[in-house]
Amino acid sequence: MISPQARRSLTPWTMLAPLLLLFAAFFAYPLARSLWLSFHATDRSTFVGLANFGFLLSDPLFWWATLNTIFYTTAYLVIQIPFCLGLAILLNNRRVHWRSLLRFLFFSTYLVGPVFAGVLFSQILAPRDGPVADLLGNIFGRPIEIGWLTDRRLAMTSVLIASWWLSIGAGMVYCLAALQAIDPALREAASIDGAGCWGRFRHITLPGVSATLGVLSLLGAVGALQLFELPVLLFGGPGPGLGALTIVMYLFNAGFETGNAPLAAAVGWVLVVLTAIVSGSALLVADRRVRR
Amino acid sequence: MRAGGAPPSGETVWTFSAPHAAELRDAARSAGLPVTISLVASRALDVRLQSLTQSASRADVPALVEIEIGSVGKYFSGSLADVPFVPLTDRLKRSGWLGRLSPARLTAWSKDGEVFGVPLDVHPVSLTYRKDLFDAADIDLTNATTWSDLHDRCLLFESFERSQGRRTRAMQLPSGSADVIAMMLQQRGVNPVDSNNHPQLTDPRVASTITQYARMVAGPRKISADASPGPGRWADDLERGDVAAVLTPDWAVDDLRRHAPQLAGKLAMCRLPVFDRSDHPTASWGGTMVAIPRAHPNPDDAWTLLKRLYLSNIAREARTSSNVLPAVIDWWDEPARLNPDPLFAGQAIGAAYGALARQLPTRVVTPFTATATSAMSLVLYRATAAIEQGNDQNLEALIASWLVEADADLQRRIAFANLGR
Repeated sequence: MISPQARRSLTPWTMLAPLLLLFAAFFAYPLARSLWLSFHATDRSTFVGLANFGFLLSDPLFWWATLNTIFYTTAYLVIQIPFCLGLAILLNNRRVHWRSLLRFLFFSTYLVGPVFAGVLFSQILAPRDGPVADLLGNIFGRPIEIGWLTDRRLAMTSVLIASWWLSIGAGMVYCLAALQAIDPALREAASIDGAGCWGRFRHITLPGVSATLGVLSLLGAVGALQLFELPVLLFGGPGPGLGALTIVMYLFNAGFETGNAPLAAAVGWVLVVLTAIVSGSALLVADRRVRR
Repeated sequence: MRAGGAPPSGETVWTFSAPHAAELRDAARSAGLPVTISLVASRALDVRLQSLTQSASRADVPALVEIEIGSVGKYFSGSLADVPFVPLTDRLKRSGWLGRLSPARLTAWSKDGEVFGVPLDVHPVSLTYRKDLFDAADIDLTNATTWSDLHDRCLLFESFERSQGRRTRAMQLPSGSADVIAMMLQQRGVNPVDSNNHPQLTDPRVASTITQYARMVAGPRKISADASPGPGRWADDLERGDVAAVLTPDWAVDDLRRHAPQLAGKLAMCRLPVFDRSDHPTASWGGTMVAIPRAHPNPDDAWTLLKRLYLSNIAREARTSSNVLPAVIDWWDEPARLNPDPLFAGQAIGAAYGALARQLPTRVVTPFTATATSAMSLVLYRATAAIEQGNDQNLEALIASWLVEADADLQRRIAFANLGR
């Protein structure tokens, strides 16, 4: 017989048990298992210490994948954030007609998802008969063949174009919400005080949306570090001359192509550290801004 | 084992291919076998198989599983006892099937001489070309015995096309991947990694092959274009006349029929050119095996099922509806395969593929074959960049030096992967 006191103390645990069990089975155990695996050899039983991490750090391909991923992340954010904000400002302007329709149209690209975007852009960027090739051919009056999907130098650009197309509309919605939360009286007061367009943007709009831009940058960076589907869909792999090899693709190849699960686990943990550094830095910057 | 090899019931077969699944369902229905055919995406199939090998449970283990050639290498990375499939050499010998299957195909599914899967196909590669276009340019590709000859003829062809105001490229070849290079190396008897897991990238034939190929896909002597992206769109390229010749494994002919029926009567097919006289006039491209998972509680039942589904008269009849040659040698001469083909202006391409299949080189697949092919892709990229920059002199020596680096890197990866073994 359980005493009333023991029953009282057990009740919350009983209620939490399903969640805790699910957490342990589908989060804690796989996480702990992957960490354990990362210290073992390909046979998954021989302990090799930090050998997997040592191999990664000495592997030029891993560094190439890391550089590619960092380049993609930086280029993605540098274009995405200003475009999201610019589009939001444009579609927040009452002088623009059909604003609701335009907002929906820009946002709709996000609804289709990366698989559709990958398939779509593989056709749009087709070197000979894609719409881009046709357009360039019409402009220059002769056939223009650009190896968007076959030239290593253009591989990451093609991925970026598809990513921007996919995500700028969604980012715009976040910025639009932030813009509409800015008190219009502030803009009016600034105008009365003689602030021009740039002044109002710099001193009222930008501070008003900076928190949203911070969140967008953070989410964008974390998503970009995990880039995988688009290159796979566009190139069927790491792209010409490994031009679109990313960290997650390196992980995938290690785990599924060569069957080296411990090495793949080690890559996963390096990615966790990289993501933690990026997220931590972004949160620190945001925290400093708030304190200021 | 069941008395008299009675058909097992309630078993499951995993396949990654929708056409295979349809074929298997038909075969099971015709044979009256109560078998479940599960279509599982290739990657998911790998994951499921890996979890089967680590699980003590024997529930839900399929009797048979189809594995694609690009995936099989990783299963051969450990010792023979670690391979997650039942060894089949003895069963194949005892049943008389070993001598009836294409020996060149058995090596891809074997480790240390032990066969772990029954090949379903041979996939010989031929050269299919627009006979109407080459005839108009008065160029005969059937006389091109070497790749170098073919290259020269293709240059002449492109020159003719330009004189007519057209921009047809002579061949369709991938400029950024070494898949065709690997196929050319097969012709020359070189596997990028041998059956003992030793990289072969420093073999001089690898450098000369990449040199020849790089000049075909880049620079002033370029004669090729990449395929348009998308399923079957390579056939559209041929139909539109963007390219005039393509490399065609037997499975590609079904794609041609589906996507480019307007080419009927305009196509011709010939053997592949070679580098040296001793080379093979074909190679294989792709492939599938069927294997019995080691985790299956009753391998004898699974073997009976395999024979009923894949090696019976029902399977033989089912395979005649496609251009894909089965791996059973005596099935290649089915009368249906010897008929003139209207798509190829009456050429009996079934017979042509059968003749090529008899000259197929052996192909070795190891856990590191895909990595070696990626390494060759990188070397190809460097070679094409050098050609584009006008640095074509001493190209073969340059490529050989890059291959030495790639070979050393591959050895390092293999040594690392074998850590603890």
